[in-house]
Amino acid sequence: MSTRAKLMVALVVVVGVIGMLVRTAVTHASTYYVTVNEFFQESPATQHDPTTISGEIIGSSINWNPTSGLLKFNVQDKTGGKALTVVYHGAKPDDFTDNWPVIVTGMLQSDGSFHASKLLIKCPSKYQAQNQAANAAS
Amino acid sequence: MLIGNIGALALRALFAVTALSIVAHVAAIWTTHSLWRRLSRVAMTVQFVFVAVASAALLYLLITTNLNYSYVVDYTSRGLPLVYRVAAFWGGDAGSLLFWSLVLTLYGMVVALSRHEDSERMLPVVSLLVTVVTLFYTIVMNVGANPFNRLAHAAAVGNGLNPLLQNPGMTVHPVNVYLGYIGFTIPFAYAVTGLLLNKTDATWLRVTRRWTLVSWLFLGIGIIYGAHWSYEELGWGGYWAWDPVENAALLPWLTATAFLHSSIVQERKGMLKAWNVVLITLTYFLSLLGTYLVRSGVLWSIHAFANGFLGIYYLVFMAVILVFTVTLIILRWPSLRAERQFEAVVAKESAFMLNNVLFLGATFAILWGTVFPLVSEATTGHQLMVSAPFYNAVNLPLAVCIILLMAIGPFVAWRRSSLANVMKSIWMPFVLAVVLGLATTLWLRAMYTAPTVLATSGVIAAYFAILTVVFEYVQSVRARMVLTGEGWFVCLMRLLNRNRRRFGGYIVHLALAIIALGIVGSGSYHIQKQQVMSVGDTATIGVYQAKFVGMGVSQGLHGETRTMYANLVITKNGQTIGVLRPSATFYENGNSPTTNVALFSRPLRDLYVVMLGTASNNEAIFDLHINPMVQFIWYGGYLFILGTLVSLWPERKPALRRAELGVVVDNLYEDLADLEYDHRMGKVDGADYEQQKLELEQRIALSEQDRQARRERMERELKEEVRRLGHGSTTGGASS
Repeated sequence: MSTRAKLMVALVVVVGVIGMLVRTAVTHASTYYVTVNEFFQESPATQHDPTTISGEIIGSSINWNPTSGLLKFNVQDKTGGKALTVVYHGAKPDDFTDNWPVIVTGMLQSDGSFHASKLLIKCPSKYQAQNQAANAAS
Repeated sequence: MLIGNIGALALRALFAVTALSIVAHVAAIWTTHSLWRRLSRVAMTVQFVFVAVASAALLYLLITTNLNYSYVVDYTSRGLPLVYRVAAFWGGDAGSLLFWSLVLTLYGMVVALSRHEDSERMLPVVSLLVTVVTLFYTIVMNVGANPFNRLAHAAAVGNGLNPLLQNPGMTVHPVNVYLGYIGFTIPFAYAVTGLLLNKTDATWLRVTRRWTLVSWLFLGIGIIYGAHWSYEELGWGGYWAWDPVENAALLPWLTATAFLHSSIVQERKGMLKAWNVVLITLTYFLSLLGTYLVRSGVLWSIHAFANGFLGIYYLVFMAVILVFTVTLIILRWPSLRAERQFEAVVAKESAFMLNNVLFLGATFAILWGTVFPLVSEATTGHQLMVSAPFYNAVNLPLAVCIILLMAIGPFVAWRRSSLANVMKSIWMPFVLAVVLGLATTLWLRAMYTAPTVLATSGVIAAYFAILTVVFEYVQSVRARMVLTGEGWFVCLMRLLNRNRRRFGGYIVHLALAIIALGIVGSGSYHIQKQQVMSVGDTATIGVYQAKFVGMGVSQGLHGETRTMYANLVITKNGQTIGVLRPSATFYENGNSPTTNVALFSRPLRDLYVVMLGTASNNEAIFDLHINPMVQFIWYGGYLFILGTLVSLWPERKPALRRAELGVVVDNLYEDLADLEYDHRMGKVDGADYEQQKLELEQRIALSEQDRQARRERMERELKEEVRRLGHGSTTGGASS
């Protein structure tokens, strides 16, 4: 076998291993990514799969119990529609206010609440003018 | 008002300036007349001057908080400290575009005023390409996002800058990322110029090596600093979240790292020519993609994005760049052939190739994960997304492989090596690394949590890489001491001085291995505890006890903020160390409160405390973390800067022109020198060395003969020609 052929074989093997790594990781670690309204339109079976949902916080629904570290709040689409109750065990992030966009990852429980294992808050970035944030807070 | 008008005017005029520049560059390329070439240089300077005037005007408006301009209103307020009024320059969309253009035209000017081999022919083309990019930003600024937009009525107050962004990081992190992103334009422009001129030697690599390194350094600093900022400011206990915006900065850095390695192969061996062009194109394209992702809003990220109307501009521009470059590469494919072939499977050349495959594999995985929501929606109709576990599952094993290769690579000889030889040089550092790695793992296990196989192999690989660098240094210094009889320090300095590229690179390897230790330590052995405490309670985490002794409130400077803090007395083994004061800041203007992290940093571990909130009867909730070895990441960051600077520092001798087309003999002599070095370092054993040396010497002798024969023939032909001409001219002279 020529040096070139040997090298090609080695390369193909390495690339193949990396490809397999990506493939298994994708199947294990991917979740559906939907908005609140899209989530409600899904079939009940799919609803109980691990899902990532984006929506906006409804300020009046925030219920934070510091002693137990339990955070309960409702999320809704920007355009309105049905609200979903989210239960999250962990710290309440900064900037947790009304209309603030949020991503939650977790699973729907039989009681109709969504248990989030992960909670992401859009961090205020340099590219967003402050007045949008100020409007959101008021 | 006047200043604002001047700025707006300069920005409008920049249109005309870039258009005229393009005419000058094209004329310089077609006519090769020196006047046009001079004009082409001047045009680059004029562009910079106009952008600088506009930038100075915008800075003036921001510093004086002129509330007639919507950009100023959006990003500053009267009470904002000066440094953040300046930082607002790149804090918003329109301003950052102007800042971008400022850096780009500055780079363009510096390039146009430089002189290097074949610069007469290359510079007008390079300038043309850079100007086209500038024209793109000029269009976006004038049509899409003008920083000089006036409001109908002056606003009463500015919106100020979000408190989380009011951090010294805001002045350092974005600037570094920009300097890095923009810098890749220059090597890319040179690569395209080489293709356009059908000049496929390594000239462009030699000319742009510093540009690539500097951009790579800035981007690297930007990434590490961004991680540090997020760690100290955001209070979530981590430093990297695999967020699309973070990934966007990491992607071009990874491909640039691959490029820095494979360009060595082209410079020294004339191989991988097409590959290098592809890599730098990919790097530039990924830096554009990063900007597009940040500004278009196509992906959901924890970083808030702009509204998205600029996305289409970037999309069109990226499409143009991609189609143009790919077409060019295809057209030039035949002339991008390598000057020589791979000679053996185990050789430095193939080690570099493996390095490239691993880096590109990581790049592909991260890119795939980042755009996965878009891809899955386009193909299945459902948006799917991946999160941190995906990135970790793919990238951590790849990172371990890269570090292992980083440890072994320097010991593999050029051209031809053998596994036995490599083994001979690495077994000692490897055994030591295994011992040290296992000891460290046992210690970490005793202190914190159970280890994983991946974490343990990561620690071993990192030690291995550190030890090989140390061994390489020690052996090289020893070899020099034996040869010259000088002291070790003199030898070390001479060594660094003589071969800055190589030994600077090794320092960077060392830095990355130290960063890897920090990542394994803080990622795998991190412990966390949330506890509700009344005054007088004590929480225990790791080796520390934290006693909650009371709370207090302090007023901000202008009464705009109030800060509520808790005092925690920290003890270790019964000895009081000090007081940590985590706090939360409340804003009078209705912004939601922000938490401030309290950190007790030691080289081996950080105690990281956040106050999550308060409850009735003087209770408070604390989030306590211990991040083992996280400081190593920042130490490694400093070493990374140092190593890159050593590698960047100009060498006194101009670099040998190794890969000039047809300079076969020089390449062979270079090989001989490499072989000599490798032998002395024990990378090639005696018998192999003798054989390879003999082979090389024979080839050199043959080539020298060949060169001599060619020279004689040329001299003969020249003499003939001169004789003929001389004869002709005398007859001509006689006839007139």
